[in-house]
Amino acid sequence: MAKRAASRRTSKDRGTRRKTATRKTAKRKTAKRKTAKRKATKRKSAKRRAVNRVTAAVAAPRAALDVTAPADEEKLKAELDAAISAFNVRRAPLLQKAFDEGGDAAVTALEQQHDALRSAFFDLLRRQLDRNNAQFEELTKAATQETAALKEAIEKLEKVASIIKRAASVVGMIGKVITVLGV
Amino acid sequence: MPTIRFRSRLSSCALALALAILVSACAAKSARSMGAAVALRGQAVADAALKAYESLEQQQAIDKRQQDFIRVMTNPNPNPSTLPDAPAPDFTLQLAPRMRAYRALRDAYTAFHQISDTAFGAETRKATAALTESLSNLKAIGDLPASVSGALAGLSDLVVQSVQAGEIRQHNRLLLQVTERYRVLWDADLPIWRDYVRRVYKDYADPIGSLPGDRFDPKAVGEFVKDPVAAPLKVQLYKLQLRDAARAKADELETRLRDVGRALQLLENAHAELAKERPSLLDATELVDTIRGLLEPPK
Repeated sequence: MAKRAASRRTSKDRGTRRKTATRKTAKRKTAKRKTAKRKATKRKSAKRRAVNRVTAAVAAPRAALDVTAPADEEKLKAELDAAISAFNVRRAPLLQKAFDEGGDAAVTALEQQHDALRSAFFDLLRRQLDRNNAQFEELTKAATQETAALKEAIEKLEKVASIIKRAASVVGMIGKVITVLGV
Repeated sequence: MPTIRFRSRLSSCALALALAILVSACAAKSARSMGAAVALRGQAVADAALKAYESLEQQQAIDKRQQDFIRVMTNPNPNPSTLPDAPAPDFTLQLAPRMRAYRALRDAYTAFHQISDTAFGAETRKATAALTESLSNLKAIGDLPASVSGALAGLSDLVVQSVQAGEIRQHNRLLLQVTERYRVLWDADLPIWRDYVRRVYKDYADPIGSLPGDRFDPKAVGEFVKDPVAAPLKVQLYKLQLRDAARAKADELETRLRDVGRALQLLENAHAELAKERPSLLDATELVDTIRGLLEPPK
């Protein structure tokens, strides 16, 4: 009787223990699932952040882009071009006339005027180009960030092979241990 | 016999997975090869843009040389003891940020080419083969059937391929946005650089026509003009040669600048094609080939 009671107690205890163990395993599993989910969300958000960084860098200058030159500038450019071209086609006779009238000084003055006109023309071009300089800085940033994101992805792909390689070496080591121990 | 059951289960699992992935494998493979082709063209476009900027950088010295030459030739009273010193246009500050941007674009395409590389799949296949070999060496498992080992190696390659294809698609979309911005800015700059180039060569080519004939040595001119015409006419023809050569140089540089703009547009179109749900490989290949034809001089 006592033996049967003891065995009943033991089986009861075993059941409780099994239940506790099942509960513990379930808890552990839930915790593991939660950690995996958290890690995946973290990974995803990191990836999204990288993508957003590039998108933002690209989109930012889009709003500020002003690629058209003001009409006044274009008009001034056309006038400068006309003045420089008019001098160009008659350069030699004009300088000859200046020399006849005022000597070397007059020639130098005329050449300096021509230089001033050209400088003004180039300054105008420089100003127009400068307007887009900031956009190029933004583009450099966007392209650099994209390169970094790509390198990150390359590393991720390289890791797959290295993980399998490590697993192979671990398995090989286990095989050697088994051989040595004669299991 | 648990080993036999284990083997058969492993075989069926591997084959089922292989079949499932095989369906998307073709698409992944084409995305990879097209990604690599577009990446190469992207690098070529960035290089062409950088070369165009280098040519624009050289214009400063070219303009100085040409203007000094014109000063000597048009001065009514040339003084042999003083040399002309025409001011040269300096666009270094404008060219620097542009060259930096295209160098960064080139780096991005180099990385994009690396991600489209086939080496990842090959590396994983090799590693998986090593792993299956190690597994086979284990006494408890024994030799894996050859079909399973092969399937596992192929499977890992396919998995990597599909991950790679996903990355290529995502970065293709980002590069589409980036390239669009580069193209818009190139188009915005183009008329300004064209004005610059035209100014440099026009201010040299136009005054040549006004040069008096006595400024040339008819004997030396005869070396360059072989036409059977009178000496004064040879001088005129020589002046024409100088003017046309200057205009040709300006045209060549303008064409180069325009071609880079076109290539950027085609690159953008290729990215847009790859970003589609069902990209047409034919269209993408045609775009890539057109870029190649535009940037590479005909042989």
